[in-house]
Amino acid sequence: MNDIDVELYEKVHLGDKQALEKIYDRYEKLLYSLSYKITGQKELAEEAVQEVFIKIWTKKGTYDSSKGKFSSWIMTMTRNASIDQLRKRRDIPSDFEYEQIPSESPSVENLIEWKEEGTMLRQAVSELSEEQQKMIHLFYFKGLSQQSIASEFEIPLGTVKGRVRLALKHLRKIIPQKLRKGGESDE
Amino acid sequence: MNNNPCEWLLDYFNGQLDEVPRRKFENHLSDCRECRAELDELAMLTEDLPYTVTPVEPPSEMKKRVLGNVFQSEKEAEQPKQQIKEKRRENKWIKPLLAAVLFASLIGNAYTLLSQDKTDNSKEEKRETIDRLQTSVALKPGEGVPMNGRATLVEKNDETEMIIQAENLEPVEGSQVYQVWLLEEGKPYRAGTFVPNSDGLGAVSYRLDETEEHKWDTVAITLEPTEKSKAPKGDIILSSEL
Repeated sequence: MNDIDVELYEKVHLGDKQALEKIYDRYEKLLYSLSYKITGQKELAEEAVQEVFIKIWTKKGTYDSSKGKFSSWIMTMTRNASIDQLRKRRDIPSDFEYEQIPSESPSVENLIEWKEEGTMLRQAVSELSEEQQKMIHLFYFKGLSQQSIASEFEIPLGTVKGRVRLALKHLRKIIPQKLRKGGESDE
Repeated sequence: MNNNPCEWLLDYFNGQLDEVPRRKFENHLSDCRECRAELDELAMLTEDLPYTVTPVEPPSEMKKRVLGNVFQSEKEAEQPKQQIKEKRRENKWIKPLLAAVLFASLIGNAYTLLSQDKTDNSKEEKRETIDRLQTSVALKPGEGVPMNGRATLVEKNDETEMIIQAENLEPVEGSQVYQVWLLEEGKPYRAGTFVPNSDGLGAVSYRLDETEEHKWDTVAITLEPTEKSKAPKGDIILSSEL
């Protein structure tokens, strides 16, 4: 799956618009969903996704296949762009809850990884304690500062990192081994 | 904020560090194996998290809008590419570049400043270039510094030029110069040197070396004792993420 992405990405680098469109089609829904989860707003989510594709097209963001999967790279860029959107608009009340628009078509046909892993991963997350779920949500999806996490949980600043890692590692443990094999990076 | 950069790792990962601490952390990262390992681990542990999000249907016209905007900028840059190449080597692109920069509502005075340096204006009028604004960021002043400025990256054909403009600069003394740096994960590269005029205005343009792949993340200006500094010696006067 990664090979298709790498192949398309190389074509994009040569200026192939269709290749960019194909990457777009493959990732639109995942990236939009991710960004929407982070920003909680349609407009910001779209803007973040657009920023990612502009970076790819203008070669400002360069993917290096020796450093991991294309999907991880593009998702990280999207997360960063989304958190950035959020940061630029700090005036918007930082509500930790967000309105989830149900998908009209639950099938995510373009990205087999998402389809295969999504359900299992969501299942795994739901097995975490509520506190750990919240920890992951605030840390990863809201990009909160260490200080804000400490205040939110009323825990000492110095313990935040340990708690975040614990939650992430716990999740990692729950995720079945077979999934891990498919999801390992190419390094 | 805690003085131990090791404690900044989460905030770095979450893009919560301001320019100066961010740069400091990146410097620290190149020396601290533990932090590098922790950062890698964090990346690994969070790698699959995006797949946990509930699918949300993107707006129906989103693809059209996004790709339209992505390609739009390219369209503007695509036109005449020939005949420009030779002249560009002679640094004659400064004026059209500045026009592009000023279009983005920048420091008007710097334009006058640089135009004065140009003698052969008539020839330049005839030359057409289609440049594409890649990015333009306001430079944030360091603590207690009244200066401000802007860094603009302009794509010219297959090359990238960076234009820096700044105002309210303190006059330099002796051999002092203002030095521009581009940073890649905390590592500084020289990217242009300038001295301000008597009005405290300064500008410099710099062609980025594209023979090597770089992911510039920060642009910064320092005041250096001489024009020969291989690494920043002075404090950061202006900086921004890219």
